[in-house]
Amino acid sequence: MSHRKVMLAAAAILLTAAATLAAPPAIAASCNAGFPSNVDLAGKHVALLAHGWNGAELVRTRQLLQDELDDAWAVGTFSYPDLNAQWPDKSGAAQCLQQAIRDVHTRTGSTDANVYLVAHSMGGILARFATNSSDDPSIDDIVAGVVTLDTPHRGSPMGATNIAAMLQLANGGGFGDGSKCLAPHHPGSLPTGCGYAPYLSPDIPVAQIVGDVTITRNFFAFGFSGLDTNGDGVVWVNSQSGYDGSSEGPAPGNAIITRQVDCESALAVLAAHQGSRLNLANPLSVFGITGSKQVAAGDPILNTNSTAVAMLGAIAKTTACGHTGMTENPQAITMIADSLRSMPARTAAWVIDGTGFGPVKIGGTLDAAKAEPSVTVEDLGSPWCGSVNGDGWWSAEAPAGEGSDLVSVILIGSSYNGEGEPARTSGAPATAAGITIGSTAEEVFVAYPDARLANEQYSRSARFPDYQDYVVEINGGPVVLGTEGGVVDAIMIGQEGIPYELCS
Amino acid sequence: MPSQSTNSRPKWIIPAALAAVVAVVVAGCIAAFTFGWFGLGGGTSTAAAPTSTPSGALPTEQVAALEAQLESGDPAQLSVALALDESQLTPEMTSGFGTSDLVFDTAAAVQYEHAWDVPVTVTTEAGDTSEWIATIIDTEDGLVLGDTRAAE
Repeated sequence: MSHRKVMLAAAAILLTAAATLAAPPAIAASCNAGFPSNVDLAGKHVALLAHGWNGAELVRTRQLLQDELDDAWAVGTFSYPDLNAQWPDKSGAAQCLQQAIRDVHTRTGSTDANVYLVAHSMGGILARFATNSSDDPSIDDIVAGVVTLDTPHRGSPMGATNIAAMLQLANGGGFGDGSKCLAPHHPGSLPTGCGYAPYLSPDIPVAQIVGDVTITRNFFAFGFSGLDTNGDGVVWVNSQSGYDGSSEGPAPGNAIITRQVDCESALAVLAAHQGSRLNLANPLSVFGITGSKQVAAGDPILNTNSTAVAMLGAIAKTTACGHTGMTENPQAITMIADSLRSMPARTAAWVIDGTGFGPVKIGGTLDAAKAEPSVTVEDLGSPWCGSVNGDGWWSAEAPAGEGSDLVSVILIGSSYNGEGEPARTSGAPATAAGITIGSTAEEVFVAYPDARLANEQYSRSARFPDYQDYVVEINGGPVVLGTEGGVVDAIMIGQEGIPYELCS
Repeated sequence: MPSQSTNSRPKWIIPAALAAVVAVVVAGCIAAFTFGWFGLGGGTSTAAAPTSTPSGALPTEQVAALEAQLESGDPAQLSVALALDESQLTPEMTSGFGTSDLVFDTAAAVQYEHAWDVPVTVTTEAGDTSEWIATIIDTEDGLVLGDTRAAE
């Protein structure tokens, strides 16, 4: 073979190799939500477990978590093997997870937000991209909570290091930007081309489960010393618990729970594990100087300190609350389960029309509404006073007052904010056009150009000039959108006018 | 002046680039093997068990020096031998090391590249003896007593 042919062959191999390593894989076959085949998701709360960078399906974690939860829960896995080396902002993995969320939600047969994400490591970043409501607000109506496990909300010291890039290559991740984008995530410091993980919708509670390893040293019977590594070997504690402040500005009011698992590992165990395959040059200085001082100074990047990387790797792999160990740590599993139980499923926003709203219908009973776990009904015989998710209030009345259990009129009212104005709450019942408590009169007329003033005989405006109540026909029946000061403060169904308040 | 042509391109560029790619991949494989770090993002990866080999490489004269540092009871020397700040030394550690006799069985040491597990017999001032396994680590500053555990 001539020298020219050798060069051409080499070029072909090079191009093939480069294409293989660099080309993003097809999305269609790249992710999967897995449940045991005999699991029926109907009526269940569903937790989806997402793995992290270079990770694989969290099969064992699924079993442990399912054992910890009762039969009202179904725990499944979400894996994205061909995309796990890509930063989730543009890999397609987020869209894949979002589709998986919608699919399992459909299988539950519920309209409530009853899907939970439990995400390890970079999976937590993926979860944040997947539930980004600015892309599709309806995802808020499905996801009830997110639990992150050792997630580098503010990055990892391994991010953007040569060793991370090499590990990714060796693990089949090619030249994906995951290793690069896992760099510390303080706003302004993320590498070029890496997008900040968005905050979750304020309705979605967040639980951060954190692992923290202390290295112990025993000196015969004379004493011991302990060195807190302030991390799990891959992610520092302040990053694992750093959701708030990890993107632009503070988090938008999410309820945030942080729980920490502490554990110890003897230096001898780490040395034996790692010493067999790396020059264990000076592990003590790594944690006496490199580790603790860099942690104290902020999130570090360990660019070239191979000893530090080696020891961190040993911690991550061998300790009970190390980065990998946390996925099967009994204490962590219990914390995840407790966190999930503390996040109640949210009732989907009830749609208002002329027939009623949600399960409360004119001419019907309140049985269906009472069966909703998020609904509270104060049963006074008539009127009935209820709330959804403890938010706002509504009331219903029987046609002949006491003695009937059939609803004739429904009044949807409002809680008020500190200014005495109707509070517009997320998840509040709304018309299909989006008009709800807190909407403005202008918004009403945009949505319903045919809106007309209510018959004064029934209207509050007859007595109080600040009130203007508008009637619109929706789905064959009248809905009164009552405004006070130009803002919707009450919605009446079944009667043209808002003469009084049934509950207050 | 010779005309420029594609033939004038250095012929080593493509093979060199190919070699670079191969080197990176190989380095990645070596690194992953070295650290046993596949699948840090969770999943069913398996940590390789450490491999040990009988040692003949433990520098006995340095062990003797370490032994002397430990037994001196001098906080300055002890802090070097333990790689601790003097402020981290407790009175029990200082007096315990300073009044005990340590005998390292270097012939029975098990090596983990730059660390060794070495059987140690500790005899206290009161004459009590106990058997331990000490992990000695070869650092840039010499041998250091890293950790100990009771011998089974």
